[in-house]
Amino acid sequence: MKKIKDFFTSWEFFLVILLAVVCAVFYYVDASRVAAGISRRPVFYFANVVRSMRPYFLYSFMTLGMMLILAMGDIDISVGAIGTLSVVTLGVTYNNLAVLGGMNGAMALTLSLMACLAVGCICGALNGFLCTRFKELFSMIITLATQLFFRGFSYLIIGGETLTFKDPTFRSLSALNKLIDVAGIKVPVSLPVFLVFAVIFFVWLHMTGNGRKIFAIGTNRSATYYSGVQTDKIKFWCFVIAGLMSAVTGIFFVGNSSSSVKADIMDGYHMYAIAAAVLGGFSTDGGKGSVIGAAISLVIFGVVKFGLGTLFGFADSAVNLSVGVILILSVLVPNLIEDWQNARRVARRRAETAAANN
Amino acid sequence: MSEYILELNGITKIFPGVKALDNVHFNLKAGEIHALAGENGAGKSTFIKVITGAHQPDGGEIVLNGERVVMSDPIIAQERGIAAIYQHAASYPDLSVAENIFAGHEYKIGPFIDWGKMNREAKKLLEAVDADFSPTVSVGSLSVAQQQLVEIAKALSMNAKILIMDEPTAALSQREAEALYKIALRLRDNGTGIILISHRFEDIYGLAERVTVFRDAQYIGTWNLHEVEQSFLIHQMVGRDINQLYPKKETETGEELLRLENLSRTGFFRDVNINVKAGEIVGLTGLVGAGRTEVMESVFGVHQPDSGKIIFRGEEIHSHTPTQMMAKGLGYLPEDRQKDGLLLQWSINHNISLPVMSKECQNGIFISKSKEYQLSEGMKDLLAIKAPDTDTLAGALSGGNQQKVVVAKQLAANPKMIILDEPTKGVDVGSKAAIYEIMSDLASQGLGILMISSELPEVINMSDRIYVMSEGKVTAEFTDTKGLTQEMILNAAMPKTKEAS
Amino acid sequence: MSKHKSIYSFLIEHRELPLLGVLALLLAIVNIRVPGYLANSWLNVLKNGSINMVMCCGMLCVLLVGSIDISTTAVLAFAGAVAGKLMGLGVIQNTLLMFVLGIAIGAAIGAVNGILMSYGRVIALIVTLGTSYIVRALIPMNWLLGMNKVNPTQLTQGFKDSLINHEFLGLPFLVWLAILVVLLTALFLNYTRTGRNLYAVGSNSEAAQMRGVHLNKIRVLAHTICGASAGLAGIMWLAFYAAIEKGSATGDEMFTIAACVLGGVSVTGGYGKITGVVIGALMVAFIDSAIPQMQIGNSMITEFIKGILLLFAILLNVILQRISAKQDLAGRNI
Repeated sequence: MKKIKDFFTSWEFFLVILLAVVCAVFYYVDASRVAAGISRRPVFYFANVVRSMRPYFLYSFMTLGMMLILAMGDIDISVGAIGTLSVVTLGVTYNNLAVLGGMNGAMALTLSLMACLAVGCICGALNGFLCTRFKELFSMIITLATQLFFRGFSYLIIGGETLTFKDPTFRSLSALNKLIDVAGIKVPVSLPVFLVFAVIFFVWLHMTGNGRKIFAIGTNRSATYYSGVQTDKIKFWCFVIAGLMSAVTGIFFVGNSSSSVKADIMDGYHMYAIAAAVLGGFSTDGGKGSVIGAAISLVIFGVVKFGLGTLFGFADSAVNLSVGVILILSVLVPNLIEDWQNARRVARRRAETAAANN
Repeated sequence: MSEYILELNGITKIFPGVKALDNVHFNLKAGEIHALAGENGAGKSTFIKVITGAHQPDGGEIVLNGERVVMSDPIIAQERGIAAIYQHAASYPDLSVAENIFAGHEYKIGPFIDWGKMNREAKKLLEAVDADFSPTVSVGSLSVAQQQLVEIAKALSMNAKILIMDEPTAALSQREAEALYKIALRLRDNGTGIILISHRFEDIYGLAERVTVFRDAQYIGTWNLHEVEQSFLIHQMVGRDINQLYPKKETETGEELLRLENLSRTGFFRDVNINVKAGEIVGLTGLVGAGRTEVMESVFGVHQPDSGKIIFRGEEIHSHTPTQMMAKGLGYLPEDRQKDGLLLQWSINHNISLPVMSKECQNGIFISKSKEYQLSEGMKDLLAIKAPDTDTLAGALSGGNQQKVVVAKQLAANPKMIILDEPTKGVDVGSKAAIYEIMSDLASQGLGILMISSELPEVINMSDRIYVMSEGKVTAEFTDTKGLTQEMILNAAMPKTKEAS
Repeated sequence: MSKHKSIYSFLIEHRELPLLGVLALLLAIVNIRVPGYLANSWLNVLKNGSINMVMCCGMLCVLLVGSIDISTTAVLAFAGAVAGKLMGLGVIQNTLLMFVLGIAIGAAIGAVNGILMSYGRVIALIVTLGTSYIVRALIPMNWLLGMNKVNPTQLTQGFKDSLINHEFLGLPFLVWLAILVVLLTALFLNYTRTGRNLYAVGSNSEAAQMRGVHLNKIRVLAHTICGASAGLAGIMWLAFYAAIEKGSATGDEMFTIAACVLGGVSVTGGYGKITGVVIGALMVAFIDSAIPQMQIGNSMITEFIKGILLLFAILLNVILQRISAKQDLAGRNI
């Protein structure tokens, strides 16, 4: 009984309802547009929505990394800059090996992909090192500084130029941007890859002892340390993995962006990642959140962007508007509900006391 | 006009989920020290906040100098001459001493603050409380005792008619506490009414004329102190008799578990030699700041000592961490259980399983809920933790039961030795007895226990051997606790260098 | 203990001093590499730094109460764009009115941030992240005065001249405006009770509350000031560049925060001096101007150097604190 109640009052359940409402509204608008003859055929149907998720799912991998950091009560502003630096590394390494060095294309691509992932890990490791060695400082300030540093590093490597790739082997990365057939529905490659990652993260965070310890750090780092948990080690590796996920995002980004790379391509991505994780129930206070919630909120953002863009013809900025509103409301509304419940409890007790005294 | 400068009648205060005060009364005369006693959670702190205007009561009246008042704001209370000194110095560490003293009633020229006058006046007040620091230094750079002096200067600066002292000596050494008492008595003789909250009966009997007891948010009674015994007061506070507070069992001591040889850490302690054997309870006492906690944190691996040897169970320990020490069989109960001991937002179950997660509660890398519950339910029964079930949040428990959960966390790891840092601090009398019983049982099962404590009665009555520390050094070891008096311990605990000068 | 102060603890009490040293050193190095740099460029540094300087004053207030605002540049763009559109439509022609309007718009958004953050208990980072999305998205909306961006042609000549082409004692009004804001902030923070309450709330909110300080009101005030300064900065931007659009100054809020942190402001609240902030903001402006002239690496190297410098500054601060603490311990003779 309690479990059933817990399920219906859970944040994930609320997100599912929210998703359903959003879909219903879009579906209704779509249907009425067809009925009114504004558009010839419906655009808001399942297969189409899934197919169109492609550009909106880019930061999903980054969101998974951000979840780890938020669960520990930290924040990582540098993930976008790490992604950029990884991508820049990927491009420059490939150009040097294959185009200038004359190495076999596939070999060069493999090596440069490894370099890309390695750079992500190294950047994450730097964050992790600084955050565990300089506990006096907030991770926000540290990663703000490293963000400037990583971004500066990208600029140092390629300046204000745009790297372009005409090389066919390199362009094979755009396979990551293709659609594949799953049970008759065209699905972007990033989606099943994301699902695999999401399942791994779910099992890790919610079913293993190690995942429990990550939440413990976010709830009370000091008490967790006194409980014999190696808090610094866990924190360090979480930052490394967040960096790695940024690099993975970067690889999909290259696949998506017609193979051209600039030093500011992923600026601001950390904001999307934070927004998705926070809507998913993670708090910058740490200690709470669920992978399922974060995954649902990614879908919500994707659907909202698609719906507003195609049905209402809103530009990206309107989509950002809704992201901002959803973000604030997702934290504000539960707080207000809690305040209201508390006020009611106090009023009830007051009434009881007054009755008892009379 | 009545003889009382302050009367509170039928005060009720309700918080979400709890009634913090239920129809309580209190009164205060000018030139009187009136103690307010009760266990933790009895409602004393809430009561103080009602007087100072930080909380609005849901029922009852406040009568100040015969006039019914509504303290809708702390500023109104201040303007009417009510000042408070809190348990944790309520200061602003980043601001200067002068600013701390005059915060909220600064000297001003027009709308602008007059720093010159504020510093001059602050200097005078600091001289009045025998403080030897400048009014321009930041409070964060002062010691706890010095910060408490700033708080007193602040109270003086307000020319308070009513002064509330909420456990003012909790963080002070005996000597500093005595200096504080002198100031309190001086203020009393000048006609200030003082409300004193303290857990220490010696404070209450030494200073106050009357005492009011609260229990479970309710008013129990008010007595003249020279008419009532301590045991009577305890009975009123707890609501029942405590038959045997110190259930110490005689045990056989076994092999040596811990030996510290000339352990030193710059600025904290020097040349500490301590040993603990299986089956004995060793007391480590001294004034606050003597370095007791720091020594034991170095043993547990929270900090690294600079020199000397730690030998635990025959093995010399180097560059260790709490993780390693727990694996070797050492448990540590931190002094601040809310900050270092528990995850208050987590259930009892999850708290207990955390330290032994990978060893006891997993199948492979996956959490086994059944193993987890088996462990925590067992601990709940063993230590008689009072809670509906192990899914209850640790933050919802009383202080004593929270402490039991912290003990359970240590016991789950199956330790050979446990360090208990102030195990009964902030724990009510009823739970104290239970914790002593647990300690005694563990020792009789062959565990070595080292108890850090400032409460001399518990040190004397519970320990087999006692070490006393002062200014970072072990100044005495008492191998026989029979006939030992508090004075003997205090003598060893007093700083010698200051005594001489 | 407090009588013999080590050099380190002195530096901790005056966190801005080492920065001043670093600034002087860097200036010297640049002046050697690029002879006459200082004589030629000091005015440009001041001009380019003015807008950030104004925002830094607001950011200081927010950081002091232990909060943060990353919506400042979005507010800058929004206030500038709305005021600019109104001027373009001919609704406002008065230059002074533009500044008043900008401050009002900024203050209103700041107040909303503050209310959501304090009364709504939403973490400041999330609130201001949300508002920065929202207000930037509003700028190109059709119903909002129907213009995508503001062009020089839409602004009156008087407005465009107001900050750049009027001078007093050899400094353009733009710089004087920044100086005025700095002085007002200094007066407010150091010499008024409300200003000191900002410090008190950041230093120990519980103690401030027990003393009768209304925490929420102070937090809302701090955010309102920050918003107002960002709104003012928006009008300054509009007058300086004679154009503004949705994406103006994107990401620059990080440099505002960076300047404050460089200047020794504690992000946990309670500590921060206006002098430090001024030095921090000057430093950022100086790097922006000097590094390209030094012709090392490519033109984008300034970003890299700013990053390194910020990292260096915050780590240096911690290391100094640690050394000072260690010295204190050694001084205890135990």
